[in-house]
Amino acid sequence: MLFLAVLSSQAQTMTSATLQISGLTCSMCQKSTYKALLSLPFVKSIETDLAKAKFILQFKTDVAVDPDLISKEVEDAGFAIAGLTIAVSMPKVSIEKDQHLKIGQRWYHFVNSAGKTVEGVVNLQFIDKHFVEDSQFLVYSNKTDYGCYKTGKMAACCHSGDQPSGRIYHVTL
Amino acid sequence: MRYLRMLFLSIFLLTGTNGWCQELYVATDPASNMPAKSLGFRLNYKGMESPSRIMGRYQAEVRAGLTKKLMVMGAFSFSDYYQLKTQFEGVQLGMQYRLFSKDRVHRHLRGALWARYSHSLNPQHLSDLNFSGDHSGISLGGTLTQLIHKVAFSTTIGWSNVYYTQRESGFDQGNTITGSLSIGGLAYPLKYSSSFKKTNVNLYAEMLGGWNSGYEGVIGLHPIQNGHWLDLQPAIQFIFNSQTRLDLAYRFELDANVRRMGPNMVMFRLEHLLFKAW
Repeated sequence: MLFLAVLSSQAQTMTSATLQISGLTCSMCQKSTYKALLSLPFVKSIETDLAKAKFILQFKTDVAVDPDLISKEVEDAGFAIAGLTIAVSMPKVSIEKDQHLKIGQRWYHFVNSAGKTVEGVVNLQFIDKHFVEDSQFLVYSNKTDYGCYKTGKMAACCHSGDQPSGRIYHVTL
Repeated sequence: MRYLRMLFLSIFLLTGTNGWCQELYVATDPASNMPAKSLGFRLNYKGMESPSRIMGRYQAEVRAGLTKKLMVMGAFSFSDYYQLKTQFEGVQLGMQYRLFSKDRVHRHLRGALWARYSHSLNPQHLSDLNFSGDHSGISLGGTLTQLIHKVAFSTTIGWSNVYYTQRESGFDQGNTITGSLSIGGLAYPLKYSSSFKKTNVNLYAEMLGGWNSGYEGVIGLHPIQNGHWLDLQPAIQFIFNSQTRLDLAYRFELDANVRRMGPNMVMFRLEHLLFKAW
């Protein structure tokens, strides 16, 4: 059974992100990653926790956030994202199994989160490829039958009718 | 065995210091490339003592991370190694391609392939092949860099061949296999700082060697075959503002039977990096 829901809102729904980066071994590596992330048009400021290789990004309110660009910048700097959690403003909703939800301009597919009710600013852990370590990606692959998880694109598994196609982010609570 | 003991002692010292490994090696490059769209400007000095004077080589180098996988470098050098006056001696070009990268938060394994080309105007009578001004030729190889526990190990293996711009008789380098093993660690600050401005001090130990089964030469009256050399190069490195590094290294010859400029060598390097340069 598939639940599709559209929570219409034009406002920026992503306010901040916590990024765990793997492969960082020195302060020069960290500075290059920092500079790369700061160059993103939607990033307002970055706090760093160098000891834990964590970056906390604050987003601008008037520029759309693109999580794929975050992973591209990290990978271009020579590293990889091991964990990405984004704070997203959500209305009250009870999450069903494999729920597909449109929040703001973006589609989300909730994996392994059924039965939870959320409201307000919620930390969503992004679990698509390039947002988690490869081994974790395999673990989540086994938790959903949906083919869209492998590609990150909406596909036949997501809808049977005339639903939109395109990028869908897989998240967990 | 003595060399192995020195290597293990270095590993022990480095593992004891901290939780951060460092792979900005001095004598070799790690398999990790420069970030995409970054530029590095290097000034290298290599000095050694001859019986009569101190000789120096100055090398200016520019490096660029073109993409996340491809890094290129170009350099030119001056020295007074072969004459009393310091003069232009050649150009060096290189590239490195990152083959793979298996990154986890506290562990990674990376592999890269590289190629170097060097053109030297110097008379080529030395047999410890290097592409920093003494030889003309090509070198092809690969690098594996592995972070295990708290230490980053890096190993390279390469094949080199020279051509002669000015050949001196009696020596034939032929094909040479070169190899290295490098380790590094953070010595200061002991606890990782939250500021990019804090100066970091890193320690390194690198074993550098070469082997040429086809080597034939004469040193004094002794014919030499199966040329080889093995050096240990410890280094200390200061990183300022997470963007500028100063390396001080000293190369000790552990064993060699080939003709070389000198057994020991001091090295300084200053490098400044520009991230997101274009």
